[in-house]
Amino acid sequence: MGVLNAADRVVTIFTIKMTSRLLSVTQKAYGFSNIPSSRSLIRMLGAPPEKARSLKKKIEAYNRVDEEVVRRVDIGLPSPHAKDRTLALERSKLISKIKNDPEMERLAREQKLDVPLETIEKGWMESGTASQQIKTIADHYGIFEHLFGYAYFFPRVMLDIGFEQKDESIVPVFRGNIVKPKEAVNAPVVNFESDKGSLWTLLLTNPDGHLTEENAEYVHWFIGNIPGNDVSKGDVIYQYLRPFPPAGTGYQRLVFILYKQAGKIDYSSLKKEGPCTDLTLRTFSTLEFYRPRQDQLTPAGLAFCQTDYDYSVQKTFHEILNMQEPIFEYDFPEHYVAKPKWFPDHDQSFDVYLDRYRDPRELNKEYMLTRLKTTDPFQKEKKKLQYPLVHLHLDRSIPSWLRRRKGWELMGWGQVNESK
Amino acid sequence: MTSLQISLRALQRHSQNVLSLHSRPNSSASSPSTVKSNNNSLIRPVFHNRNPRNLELMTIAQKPEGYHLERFKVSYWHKLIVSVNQSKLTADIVHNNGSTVISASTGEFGIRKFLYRPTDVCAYKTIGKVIAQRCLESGINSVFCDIVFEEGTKLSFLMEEAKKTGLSMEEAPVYSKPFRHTRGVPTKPWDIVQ
Repeated sequence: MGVLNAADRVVTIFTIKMTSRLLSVTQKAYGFSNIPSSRSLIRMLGAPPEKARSLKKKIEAYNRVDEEVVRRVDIGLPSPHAKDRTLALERSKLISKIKNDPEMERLAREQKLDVPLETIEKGWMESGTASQQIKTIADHYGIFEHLFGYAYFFPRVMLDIGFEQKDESIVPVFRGNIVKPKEAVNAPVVNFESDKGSLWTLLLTNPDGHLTEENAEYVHWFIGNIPGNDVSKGDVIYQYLRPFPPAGTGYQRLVFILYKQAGKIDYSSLKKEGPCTDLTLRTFSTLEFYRPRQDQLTPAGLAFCQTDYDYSVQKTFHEILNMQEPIFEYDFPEHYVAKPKWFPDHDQSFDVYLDRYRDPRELNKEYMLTRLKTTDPFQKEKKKLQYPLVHLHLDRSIPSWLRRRKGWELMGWGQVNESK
Repeated sequence: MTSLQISLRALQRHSQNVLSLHSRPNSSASSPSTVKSNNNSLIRPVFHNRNPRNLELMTIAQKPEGYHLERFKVSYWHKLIVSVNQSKLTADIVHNNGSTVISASTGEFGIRKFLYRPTDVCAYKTIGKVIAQRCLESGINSVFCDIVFEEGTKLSFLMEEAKKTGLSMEEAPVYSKPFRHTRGVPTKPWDIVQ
């Protein structure tokens, strides 16, 4: 398909012997056999349906990537349950014991076998299914893709993270639940199981909130060399900074990653003194951080939540980051507008029809000017009528299209909305 | 260039368009007059949120439309699917790209060890609770569900427990930009600040 050559155009004049079956089928379907069949026409119609590739196959071929290039690498800790035959035997024994338990049978029969969710969650984490499923949902949220590129890991250490509130309740962080910025004012409480001698690094980053760069993160919290599971005894590299998702940008991910250290690591080159509210210093890339230290660090734990705008963010921008609060608006694709006709249909008012082909900026300006004309800054605002359209409807001195237009302006419907 | 390539390019351009956000000059007068840091010079006119679930949560992301004669509807972001066989009962949350995102099954040892049988009423109740809990913990508060069940069946226990735990069985409709000539003002879901 594409541009016809001059030679092709010459060929179209003559009818040549048909080679495409599709062409003959169309000729039959339309009931005449003298469609000017030409080479270019045959080329345009393409191969017959039984020979041609389907759209699905074409899209597959278009999106095909070299598997060796995009192959993912596991960088995490190995599974503690891997190929443990005794464990499977133990489990099957326990299940057969349950099957022969008369007490369990009675409870199941009377539908009183009510298992609390906390107990199930504990069992879920112990059995190793948790690390599989957390990895799956993290993939769904694009966590590994955006933080580690082609690397991933199974979180073997379960993190118990919660933001303490003023009323002593706790807002937990699981794997994608929504935490409001006003709930995440102070650094969270982090717990995990570990040996006494081991050292850990905890990082909290936001891969979505960068205000200047694409594909960059902000580091919100960074604590290195945590002995055992006591986070307060670790070296604070970056102090905690509360999340600041700007208005209109939607939901941003906050990712906690716990790394297991092989030994003590010197983070003095990264360390920032004080609260560090300069955002350029907070710019971070997990991959660049991890790559030179991959022999000493192994990702072991993962938890993440999502935050979106609330009114506490304004305070964060003004008082902590010392900057203006940016407000964003979603940029929808423009609606399709059909070409104007000489004689349009009468299904709508002529002013609506003509407005469709005017520059929206010009229209907005017009609305704005009329509003400025009618409002006086030194006078009280006019009392809003409960049913403004009634009074307009009774006014028969103006034509109906103008009445409709004024009514919509009063109600704040249509284009007038955008000029506000 | 084939027409397929053109349409794919257009699609790609569209998806980029969908993600870009244009800044509006801040009209708030309460911004600080004395600015110490250089953060102010940082703000870019276009902001790009990389979170793949963001547009779904903002209810702007498209749902696949499918064909009206199809037996199963495909117009959803996340869907609840319940499957059962002799040895286990499974509830899955499937995304419209085909991947299973969350699942809870009585085949899991962590759940199985508390149950007498893997497919009795207690098993259905437990799976209903667990799948809802896992959804809420994963930030999926509402799912599409086309399961037809009768009152008093095992399935009804599952659905009841899932609803009781807090999982909504109706997904929000897609917000689309109103036409210039549409009457009324549709509220943008993301403008409602809590």
